[in-house]
Amino acid sequence: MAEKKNDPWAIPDIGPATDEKKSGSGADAFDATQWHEVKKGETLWKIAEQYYGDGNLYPKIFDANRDVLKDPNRINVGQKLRIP
Amino acid sequence: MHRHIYSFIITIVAAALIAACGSSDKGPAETALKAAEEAINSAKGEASKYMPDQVKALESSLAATREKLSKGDFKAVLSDAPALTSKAQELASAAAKKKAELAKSWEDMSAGMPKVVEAIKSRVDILSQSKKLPAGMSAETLAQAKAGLSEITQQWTAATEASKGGNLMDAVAKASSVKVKAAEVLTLLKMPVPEALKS
Repeated sequence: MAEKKNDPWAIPDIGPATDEKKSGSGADAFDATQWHEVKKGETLWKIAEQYYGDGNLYPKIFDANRDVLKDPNRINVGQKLRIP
Repeated sequence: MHRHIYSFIITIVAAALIAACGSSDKGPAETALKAAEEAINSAKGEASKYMPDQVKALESSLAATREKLSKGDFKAVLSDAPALTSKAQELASAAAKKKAELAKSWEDMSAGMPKVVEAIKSRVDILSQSKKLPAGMSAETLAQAKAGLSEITQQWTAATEASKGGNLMDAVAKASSVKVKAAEVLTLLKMPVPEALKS
């Protein structure tokens, strides 16, 4: 090993290829989506307050979840919502 | 008298034989050196982009071997030159592997990083509209996040330009620094850090 370290010709060990198991598929591994699981008694207003400091911004959460929410006043316990 | 003449003749013949043996290595030494030069020239184009230090070391060794040839140390050349050829071939192979690794890294990052940047931008935009920041976040933190976002955007543009210019090493290096900064900004914003930004 010491000999290899001093060898100017030494071709560095490039290391293993990307460990896909560890990092997941290329796209998923970069997913930065923040999710919130709705708890009992929560409203979009309260969730907006938690993440944005301002309940008035609840439409942002509603708009990001139109695929699962029809009415901003109706959310269900256990629903997973994207927090933009 | 005769003995002296015979000794002298034998000495001359022996010297001539030794010289002949030495010079008979010259041709093969030149051939071996030429093969090494060709192997190195063939490898160094791509290898210089990904392993410049190793290319320099190899060229330095080649110069030393040429020196030995010019000094008539043919045996040394016959020993060194094949090793140089072999190293050049290894270097070419390693450079090709490195290039493929970098291309894969860039492919993954160029597909994934824009989504990260978009997520950060979205959150920063929303927080900028907020009348009051969420618990645990100060105005200073948000300002840091905004500055970080600006830096990320600039650096990502530079990485993309490097890639378009064919400089994969630079593109991947810049993209890697974007990953680090993005992870910092996500943490400031109390957002989850994706797996790919943790490595």
